[in-house]
Amino acid sequence: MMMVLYLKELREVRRKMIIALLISAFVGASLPPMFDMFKRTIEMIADISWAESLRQQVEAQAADFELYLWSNWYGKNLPQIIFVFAAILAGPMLAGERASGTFQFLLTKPVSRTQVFLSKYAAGATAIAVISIGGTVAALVAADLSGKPVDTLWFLAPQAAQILGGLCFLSLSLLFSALIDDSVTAGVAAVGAGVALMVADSVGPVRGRLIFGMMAESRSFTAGVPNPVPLLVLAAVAAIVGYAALAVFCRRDV
Amino acid sequence: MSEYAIRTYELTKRFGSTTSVDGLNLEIKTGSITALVGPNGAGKSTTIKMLLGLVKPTSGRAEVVGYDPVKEPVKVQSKIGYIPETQSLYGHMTADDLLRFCSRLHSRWDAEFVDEYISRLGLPRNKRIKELSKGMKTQLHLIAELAHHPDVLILDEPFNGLDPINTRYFIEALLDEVGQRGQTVLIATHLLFQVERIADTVCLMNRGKLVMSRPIDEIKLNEKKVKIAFQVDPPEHLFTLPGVVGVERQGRRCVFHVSDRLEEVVAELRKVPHFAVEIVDLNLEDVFMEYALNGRKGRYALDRCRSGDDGLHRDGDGPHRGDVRQ
Repeated sequence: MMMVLYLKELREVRRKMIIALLISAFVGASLPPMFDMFKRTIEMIADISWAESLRQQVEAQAADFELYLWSNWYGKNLPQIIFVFAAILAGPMLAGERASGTFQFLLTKPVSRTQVFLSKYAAGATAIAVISIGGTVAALVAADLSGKPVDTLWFLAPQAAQILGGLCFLSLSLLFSALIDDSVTAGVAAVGAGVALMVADSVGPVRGRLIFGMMAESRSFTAGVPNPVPLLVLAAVAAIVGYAALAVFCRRDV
Repeated sequence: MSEYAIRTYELTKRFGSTTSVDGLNLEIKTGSITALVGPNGAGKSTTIKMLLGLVKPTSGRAEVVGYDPVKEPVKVQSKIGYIPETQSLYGHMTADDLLRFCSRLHSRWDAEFVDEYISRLGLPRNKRIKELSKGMKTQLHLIAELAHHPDVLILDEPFNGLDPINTRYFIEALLDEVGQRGQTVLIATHLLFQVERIADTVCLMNRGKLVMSRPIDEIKLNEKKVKIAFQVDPPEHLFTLPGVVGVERQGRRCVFHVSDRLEEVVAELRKVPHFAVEIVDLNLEDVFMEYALNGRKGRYALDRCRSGDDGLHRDGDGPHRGDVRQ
């Protein structure tokens, strides 16, 4: 039964997933060839006094291709793609079905609401994994083709953190989708909450310690293996928020 | 099998301060075709959604094929078919996709039945549902809901937007299936002339309450209007006779709406000096209007009647029980 529902959900998200995969692959593949341009830009701003602080921040990346690739891909591009995609994908998942009336069809079939929710969650998780791994593979291939090969296993180490971070945003978006009837409003609310988290993660005392920071997995850059602490925290957040979304979905009238 | 396919016990649903369904005690006999009728906002759709487990009751409970839709929704849903008021099929699927999807969700699925009805109704299998006409969508939905041979079929305004030809096809397909398998059918609708064709029992709801539940034959036999012109002011006790559910009065001319004990009521009325007595049969629409309007204005009309007022258009808000319809 779950498989039937899962395949139906996967079919419904496939277009968004393909578009997000193309974007992810394009961004991932464009990073290695842009390294040389990045280096030249840093050299060009060396003499500009007001750009000194910016130069100091990224100088290390300009000197080290692996650091550049890691920082940009896992620290910025991929988490942002995943977060926006999770909101666009999951925002309408429940609210859209409620608004279009299809829940009256689906929820009167012999399936439990928990099964319906979990099938949607599984389809969303699959899509997040596909765009995360697909974009990363594109970055690896592009690095190889650019003559700057990196260790594949080392570079794939933060995948678990990226996907678990994606599940946190998926859970959050599903929570909004369960609470709000309009799918666009639910999506916008999920994006808003993600942006707020992103801002909180980049300034102040919790800088780098929230979801985006944990997704970057900076410790495994030097260790070469995933750090279990952020993985556990991300998994716990995804599970708790996801459970809250399920509880709201099960309780609400259709 | 239980005597009743559907039962509700003081079923109540409130949305904020609005009571949509108010202490509903409904009994639908197994194998019957019951029409749930009532004006807009009577609580029909909310009642149906509570029976399906889509909406949770504020208080009271329901029993559908022996199961509580709140506690065991999947068991209820495996034994029912449901066509909602609004279009609810997945527009991106084709008819074949939808039927395949449904077949995997139901443990008993009659593929031969599907093939027979698809070809009989000439439905395109590979066209996206969003490209089908309203009539085709409804027919497809009916096939999808009948193909697992549910014990109970619940239809919420199924004829909405259907032209007379599609309505006839729909009813024929429905009656064919029900005739063969003896399923219980609950239809919420406004189209009373269709109800008279297919239903054997009518449940009338108004303002969230069940105001009448009767077999159609009984309605036809018992629901009457007695028009009488008295020679003197009619005594008060006539208005509260057992069986009298409403009275319209214009001076000494009165119209009594009688739902039971017709002979006793007429005998009692005849005891008062009068010019003429006329007994008028009511069709379902008349009964519906009587009960629906009675719910809104009946007290007013009766009170006016008792005080000797004529009760005609005093509040200027349209037709009501004070209007004498010929």
